[in-house]
Amino acid sequence: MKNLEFVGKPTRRVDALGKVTGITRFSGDLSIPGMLHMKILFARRPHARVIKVDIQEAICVKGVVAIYTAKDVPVNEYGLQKNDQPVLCGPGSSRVDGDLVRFIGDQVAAIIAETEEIAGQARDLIKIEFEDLPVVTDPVAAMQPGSEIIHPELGTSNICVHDKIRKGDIELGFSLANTIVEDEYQVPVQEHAYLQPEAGIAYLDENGRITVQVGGQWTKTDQDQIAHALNRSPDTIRVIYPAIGGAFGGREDLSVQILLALAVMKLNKPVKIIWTRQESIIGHGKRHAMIIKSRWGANKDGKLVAASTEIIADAGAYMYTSNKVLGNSTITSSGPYFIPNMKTDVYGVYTNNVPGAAFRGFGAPQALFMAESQMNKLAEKMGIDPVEFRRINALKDGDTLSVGTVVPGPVTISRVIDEAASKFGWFKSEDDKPISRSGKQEIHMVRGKGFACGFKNVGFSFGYKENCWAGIELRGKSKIEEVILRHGSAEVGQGNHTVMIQMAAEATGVPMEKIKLVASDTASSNNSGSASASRMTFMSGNAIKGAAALALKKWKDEIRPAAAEFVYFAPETTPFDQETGYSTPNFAYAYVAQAVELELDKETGIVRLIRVVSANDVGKAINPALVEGQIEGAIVQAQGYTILENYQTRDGYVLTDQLSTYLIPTILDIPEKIELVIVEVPDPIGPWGARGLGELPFLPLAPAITAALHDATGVWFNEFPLTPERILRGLGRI
Amino acid sequence: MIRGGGDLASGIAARLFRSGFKVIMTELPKPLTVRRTVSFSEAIYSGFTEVERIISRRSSSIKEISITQMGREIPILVDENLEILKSNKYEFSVLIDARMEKKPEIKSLYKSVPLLIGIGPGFTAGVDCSVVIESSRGHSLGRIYRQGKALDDTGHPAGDPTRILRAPMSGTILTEVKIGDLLESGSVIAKINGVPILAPFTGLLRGLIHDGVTVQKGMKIGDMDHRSDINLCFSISDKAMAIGGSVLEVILSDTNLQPDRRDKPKL
Repeated sequence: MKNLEFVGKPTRRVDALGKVTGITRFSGDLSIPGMLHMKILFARRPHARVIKVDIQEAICVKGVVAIYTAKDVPVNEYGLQKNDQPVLCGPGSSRVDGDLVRFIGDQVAAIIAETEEIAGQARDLIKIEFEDLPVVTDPVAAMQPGSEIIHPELGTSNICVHDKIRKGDIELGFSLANTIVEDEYQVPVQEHAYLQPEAGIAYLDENGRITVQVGGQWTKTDQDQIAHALNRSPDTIRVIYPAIGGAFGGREDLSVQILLALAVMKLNKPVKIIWTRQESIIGHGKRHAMIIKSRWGANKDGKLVAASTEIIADAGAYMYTSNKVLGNSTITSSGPYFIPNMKTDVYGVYTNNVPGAAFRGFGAPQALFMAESQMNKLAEKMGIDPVEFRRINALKDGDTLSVGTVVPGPVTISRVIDEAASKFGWFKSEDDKPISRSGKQEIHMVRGKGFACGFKNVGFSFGYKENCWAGIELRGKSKIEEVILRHGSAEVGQGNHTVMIQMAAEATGVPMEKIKLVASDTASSNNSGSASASRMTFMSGNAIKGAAALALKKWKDEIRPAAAEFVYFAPETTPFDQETGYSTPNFAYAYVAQAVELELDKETGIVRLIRVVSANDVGKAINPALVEGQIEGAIVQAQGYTILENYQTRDGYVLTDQLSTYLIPTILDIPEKIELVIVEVPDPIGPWGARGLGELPFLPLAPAITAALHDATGVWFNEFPLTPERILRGLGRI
Repeated sequence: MIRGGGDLASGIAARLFRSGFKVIMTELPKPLTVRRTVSFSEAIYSGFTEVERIISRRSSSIKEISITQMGREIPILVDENLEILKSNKYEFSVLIDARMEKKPEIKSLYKSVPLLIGIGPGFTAGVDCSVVIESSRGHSLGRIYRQGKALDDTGHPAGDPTRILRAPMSGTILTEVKIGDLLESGSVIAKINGVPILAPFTGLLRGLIHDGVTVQKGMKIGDMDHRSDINLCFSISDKAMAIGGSVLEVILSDTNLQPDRRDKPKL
């Protein structure tokens, strides 16, 4: 390969200056003279039928411009995977059972007024008459026949997803096992807690298109869903992404977009909304909580012979992306290991909880918490080192996955395991004296180390025809003066616009400062897919390379400007066979391994991460500085998931609906030391070899932490977050 | 279709399987394989086995065969007389006889399949098979004979002749060690009717027939290796890889099997 000029350099982010100086405008910062303000009336009931919405008093408040209810929405339904959610719940809905409220964040009315305060006052004057229905919050109970049905319009069961893997002979497999570990795990909900709550503005653009500026992850599906609900053609809807303050999967599903567009359609005036933090927490999806029962067996040589797993996931009130998230739980339920006999059942179940949504890792962190915990327990029971045990069973090139197809290579799980173990000094003799942070020996302070690994596919798959569009225009006369790069991707804070400009520079041979990116506007960009599934660098890089090659050819042919578009199609995948799971689910994977050292105060139950070592195969670090940022960010987010973030509900109501009660890590909580190993084994179809990264370092941290806690205390924790209370209970101290 | 599930047959199966061929193997009800850790025949005893991360699974019905193949595994059946050839469910393009019988077959299946490949001595190309592949170690290993025979069986494999363990008498063998063990010279490997079979030298036990099998006097029941690298026991040998590569060449170069590869007549 020739020397790379732009790719592989820790280039400064193109959006750095604007963001650190505050010049950059996020969704909530946008304003247009004469704009109106919107507030949404949430149902705040977990399960009820809306009998009547009385807006008489509210509409009379001075300054109120309009109030919309279910009857005002042309096609009162939306959803990324399934149109099962009313835009507004209430009588007169165009959708059957559109008057049913299925979780507290269901929306009943949109109030538009001259100021936000007036809209809020009017909202509080609306009276809703509810007929309360039995509330179903336990997914296991919801699966039972006779349970209250959340979606009577869809059928007679609350089970909305059931994926299976049947490989080999599970009974025969267990009969050959010398060591079996059987356990049950419960993984919690996690709130995305992006810094910027749901917000945005909508208006008519110069061509009369309803234009919605709300941070999202996939402009095209936002556009299509808005168009569907308003019963308009998609080309009359324009979606533009301003700067986005974090997404993590949570912005894949719509929040305020349809109602903003509806108001503009009816009023022909700009309208703005900003959700409060509380609205953000109750009104939008979360990471799926799951209950996982698992039985794994290994033979006397330390080889896994059988794994049987049942996962029950709380899908909450609506489908969102549960089917896809759980597909990923299914495929990762084997861990990155070779297992000859497998039986996996993964259920998604509708309940009256806040919907389960896409969230960094997309179903993999939950399944891998089980798989890696099972691995650590098996290793302990057999008296094998957990790293050695993983080496024995790690997937290798050419291996057949549990779904009957070969894992796309190169498979580097063994490599990252070795890199993490070596950087951590896993096999060095350890000084296990309880030494506190102050350096003094204190008997109640104990330390432990833990190991775990993970893998994650890149991109959308399971039969989806994964593709990504890019356009490149070369301007100038004798030499290229300027490059216009057009792309649909969302910059959600991860730095992908910087990476795309680096890749365009490399592909065209033109310096980065001459490249102008026009992104995230359905008026100028085609479908580039979602900024999720660890896909954007991989997919956009291939699209940019394709477009650049075509444009350069035109340039050579003296066409000015030399403009070309390219759609990159990833290799085809297939969905699960319904009975066996056999499929070609994915076209590329990336691998990670982490080792953790922590310290526990046995008196207070407080856990501190001393060191996290993370070895990640990224294929090619297009921008090593951003890779480091992604890894550190993922680890901190996973630490919050594992230790701090304690989402509490009662009867469908969210008790932790503020950041004062739902605690996320701050600078004082994060690990003292994060050490990275960036492994670069190129993916043969990745741009410059790049694989996916965004989700990867999130995956193994929870099981590595519980393994370290076990090392320190001898107690296995099968549930988290590891709050002081849970730890002290586990230790038998309270 | 591969007849036999021993180490050479398994090496051939692995190479074909990895190249994308659908492979079915057949074995005896009680396979006599000695290198069982690298042989798919072991699945007959245990239900399934794994060689270099390829799984073979004992399958006894058409349904089981198709489930096993769908899961990208190799079905292996007990089918001494190849009854499956009579099934109209399958149309086998290639039959590979890798049983290492080392003697001519009484009733050859030549012409009952488009391509019959014989491995090792006993076969004559064009007479009882289409092609013969050399299985004897040395310069000619893996050579493809489209006429004639492979080198005759000398009865004396290359290297130290004592490495091959043979049954001193007929009877039921009871094994006392496992493949991969490093054995001291003179230690007991197995017993037949109470008579111990001893390690001829200090080294690695690379092959040992399945416990409880009835053996005939003089039958090969195991082998040892002077080298001590345990990995030798768990990966396909150079010899099996070489023969497997030759089988692949024979199949890919067969113009009858590959109509689109057939040379077009020049006009």
